[in-house]
Amino acid sequence: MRPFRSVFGIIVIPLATAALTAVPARAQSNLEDALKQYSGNTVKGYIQPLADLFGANMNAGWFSPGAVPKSGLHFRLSIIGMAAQVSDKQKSYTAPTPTGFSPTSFQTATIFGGTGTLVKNANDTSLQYRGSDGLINATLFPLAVPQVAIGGFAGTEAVVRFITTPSISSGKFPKTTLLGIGARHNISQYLGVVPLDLSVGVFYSSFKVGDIVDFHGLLISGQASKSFSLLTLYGGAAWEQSKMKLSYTSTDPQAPGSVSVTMDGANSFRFTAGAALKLAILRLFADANFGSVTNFSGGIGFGF
Amino acid sequence: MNRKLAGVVLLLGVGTMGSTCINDPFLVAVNLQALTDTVNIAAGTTTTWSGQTTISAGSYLNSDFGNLQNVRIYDIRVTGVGTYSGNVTGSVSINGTLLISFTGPWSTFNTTQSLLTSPAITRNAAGIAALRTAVLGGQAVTIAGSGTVSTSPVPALKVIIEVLGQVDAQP
Repeated sequence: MRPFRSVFGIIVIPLATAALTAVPARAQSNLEDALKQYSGNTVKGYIQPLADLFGANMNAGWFSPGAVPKSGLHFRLSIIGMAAQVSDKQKSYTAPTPTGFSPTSFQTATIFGGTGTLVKNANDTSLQYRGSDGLINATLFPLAVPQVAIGGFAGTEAVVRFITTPSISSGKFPKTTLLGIGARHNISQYLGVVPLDLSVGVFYSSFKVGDIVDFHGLLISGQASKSFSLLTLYGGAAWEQSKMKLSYTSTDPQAPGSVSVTMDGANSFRFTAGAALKLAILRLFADANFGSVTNFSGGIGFGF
Repeated sequence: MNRKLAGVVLLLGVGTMGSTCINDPFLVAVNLQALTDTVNIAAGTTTTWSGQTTISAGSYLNSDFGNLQNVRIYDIRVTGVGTYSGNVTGSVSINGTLLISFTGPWSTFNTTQSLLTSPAITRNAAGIAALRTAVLGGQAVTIAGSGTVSTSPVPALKVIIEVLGQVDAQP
């Protein structure tokens, strides 16, 4: 068992984290090149699905496995994986053509789409305009992050998640940093005998990619759970908000210059249902989150 | 045994979530930059005008982009700056090949005229082909404008020619 535990701890967890976080890290460099071609008015359609899906991911996985111990020091280290479902409607959008062009708009790929559409001017088909290709080909858009929960004071626990990837290839792939903090509080302790473990929580996240993309997310939730021996069923409802801010210099000749755009993620409310399995110090959990964006999270945790 | 089970579950999870990948090839429709020529028409009795600008490859396209696959023009615009009551006739060439010709009252060109909408501008396909060849070959582009105005004396005027295009490129 010891060799397996060593390999698991030293190799598998970092590899899993690196593999999953490598996707947005690599995407960013190419993404920046694509975004610079758009003005502030035209970039939103291309990038909005990223705001929706990443926002949903960033606000997921906070409150497994449900119950907050009322007393006694507890500590749990988890690796949380989240994945948001990419729908077909998030793969294309209606983009404007340049001023004077006919037609005035066309359907082309978002960041999650395929090949960009070529559109020809109706009056002179030798004049043509094209949208950029989609960058990410996915049915699920993932994110992974290590997370620590520490509790022991009046049924309250603090939760922190953090991961950073350095700039690599001489800055071609910029540094990324994800930081999340939050707290949960057990409210069953105030309600006498109740059949469920109830808690409330508030969580804040930020994710910065190089100098051009900045995400912020906020989740306020209520959770309920019920344990059956090794199995815990849990669920919850939450209000949430996520914002993605883009800051870059556009090369669009029709509107060149500094662009600063803030986009809201699609989710405002989510309902969560999941299950957790406790095996000694090990906890496995998986849940589904339903809102404007369907999102899944799961993970593995060690704690006492 | 429990830890082995956990490892299997994690690896399965990682494998499943690896369904995300980067599109390859990934083509960005890159805006060509600075393909502009501004020609000053000196005040005086001379009714002909001409002027050219040479734009290096590094100026119209960021060197970060390689593997160029296609070049498109989506508009050519001509603007006349200054007040003048006569007419203007002109032509614009790309690396020596005629791209457009234009004619009309100067006052018409005080409002930017677009190849997309203006009957005052006529396109020449060979000029677009010349631009495509230059960009795909990483060559400098020389935009040369020349023409006449109808009557003298001529006040100080300015003709601005803008070529708007894209190139499909891989970052």
